[in-house]
Amino acid sequence: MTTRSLLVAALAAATLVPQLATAAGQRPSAARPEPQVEVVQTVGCVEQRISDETTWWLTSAVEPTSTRPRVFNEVEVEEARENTSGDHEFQLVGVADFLTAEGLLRFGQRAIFTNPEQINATGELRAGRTVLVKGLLIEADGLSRINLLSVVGLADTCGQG
Amino acid sequence: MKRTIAVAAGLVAAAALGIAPAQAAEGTPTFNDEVGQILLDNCASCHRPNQVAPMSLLSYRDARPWARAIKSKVVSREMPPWFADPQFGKFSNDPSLSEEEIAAIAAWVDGGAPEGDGLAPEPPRFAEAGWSHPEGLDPDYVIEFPIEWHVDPDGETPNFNLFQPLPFDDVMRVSATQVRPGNYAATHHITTGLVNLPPGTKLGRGPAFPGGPMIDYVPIADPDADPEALAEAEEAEEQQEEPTAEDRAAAEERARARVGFGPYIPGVGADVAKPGQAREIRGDLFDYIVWNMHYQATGQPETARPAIGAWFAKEEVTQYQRTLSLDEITSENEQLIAPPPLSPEERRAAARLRRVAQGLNPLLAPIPPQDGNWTVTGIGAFQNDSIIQSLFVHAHLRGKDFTYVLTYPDGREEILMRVPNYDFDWQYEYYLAEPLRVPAGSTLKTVARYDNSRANRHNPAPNKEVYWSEQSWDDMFLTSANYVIDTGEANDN
Repeated sequence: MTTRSLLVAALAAATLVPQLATAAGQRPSAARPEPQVEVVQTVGCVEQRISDETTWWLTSAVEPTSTRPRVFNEVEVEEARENTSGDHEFQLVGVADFLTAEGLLRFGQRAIFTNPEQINATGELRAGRTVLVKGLLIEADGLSRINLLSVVGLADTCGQG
Repeated sequence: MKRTIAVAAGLVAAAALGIAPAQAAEGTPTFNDEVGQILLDNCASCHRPNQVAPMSLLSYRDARPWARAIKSKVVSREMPPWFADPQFGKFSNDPSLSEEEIAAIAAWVDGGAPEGDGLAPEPPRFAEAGWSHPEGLDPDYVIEFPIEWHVDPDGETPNFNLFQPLPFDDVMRVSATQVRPGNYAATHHITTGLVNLPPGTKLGRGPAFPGGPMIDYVPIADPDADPEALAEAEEAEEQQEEPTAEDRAAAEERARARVGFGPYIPGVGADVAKPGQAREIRGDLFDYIVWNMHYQATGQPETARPAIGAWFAKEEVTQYQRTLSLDEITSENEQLIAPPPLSPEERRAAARLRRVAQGLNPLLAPIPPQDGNWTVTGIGAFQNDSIIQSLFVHAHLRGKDFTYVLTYPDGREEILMRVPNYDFDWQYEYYLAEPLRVPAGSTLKTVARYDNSRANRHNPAPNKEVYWSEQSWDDMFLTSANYVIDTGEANDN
């Protein structure tokens, strides 16, 4: 490195220090605020009260517990089988991706960008099944709703794990 | 005589291009009165010196030799490149030309590509040295890649990671960042992130990738690591109880902060926050920058030395940009479930085996050969009232189409964006023209499809099973939304 380039580097460093002090020497402010809506998981029985694709319920559900928006692991699924019945009830929303292929294609605008050859529908949400669900718990209009993030089938009948 | 020869040569060149000498017939648009401004507004972000495009279109002199090619590309809508379906959403960085603009360019070319009278439109002020801040500002802070990388003239360079110490250890608040590639032709894309090295490792000399050149700045076992301190750390980890909610929140905060300075993607310049907003670069959480490099051969030897530019947030910051990852995954009609968590010992063994990398999509099964519609859906949760500002899609050569769907707390769905023909060469961040307020309790979904069949013209190996990694012969599912918390204030938008 030449004397000139050393000088330039030194000057640049001297200029940078006060700038960094204003930009970097601070406490983080972007920490996540307290969530307004919790992510919960619960187990219950799938019920369809009206025969359209939008109105689904989780009945006889166990007390929801707080969790995080990440995929379930196998241990969590096994633990969920230990307690499959309770007295809670939730309307399920955001159901499209967990319906059968036919159900998904009839749902909202899905048919605009999906056809039977290119569908991703898990089919876990079928009436009379026991499922483990994860989602956002919304208490509004006198209803408890869960906006779904994940649905795992535990049994093809209700009350079983 | 020299002048005569030059004019004659120009006429020959013009004739070769099939263009008449530049005289404006009445009613023909000219460069100075119309076409130049269209090119500046929609093409100059790439078509200027030191940028990704092969030619500049800033001036009449620059643009005229390319007039026929310009017409052909804009009439076919191949240029400017844009991939979002106009039926869903409006985006502030959409450079697509209107029908009137395309007609003006076509008429200009058909009329002999005249320069016209009057003054040429003034190009916007661009920073020197390839920085792309819209106000023409040079960055306040620059971090250079520690070495100059040599790209072979042919063959495929694997995607690889290099690490360098993060030169500050507290929080840098920035209003804009940019990763400048240093060599546009040889760089397909670069991602940067923030990481820590596993205990017992340090930066040292090793292969850049298996079989690759020996370089500094890769993680190696630290022979000077204190065995007692390592043993104590291992013991503490083994005795650690089930993580608390605070532990999880801290882990999630770290995961969100890993994005660091962002990527270099062709056609995309500085990522600039809206007034009053900033991002935080968390030197208090991380010690190293990881550069994930994707180079491509150009037919001649190339060198590249990328750099990160940061523009400090100098105004009062009221909102911080955040990234929503869509981590709940279903694929091929199945809900993905992770294997049991690793024991501390297994975690340590895995860390020793694995290079520190971004570890993406570990649960996805490989795409079978010739599968033309392989599906993945990712879902993310808005736990606070939020304002979505942009949407991002990253996949490789099998990426086919991507649709973003918002599900409101009452169950209504809205398609926010659709990319029906994804192109690996143009991985845009799509900025909503009107940032969208979404209530707490909403979910965001990306419904994606991959095409590993022969029908995919980008597919280099339709008979190959495709795994998931950062390597471009594998594929990736990486979608996210940039958002701020909605405080309900008028300036949120």
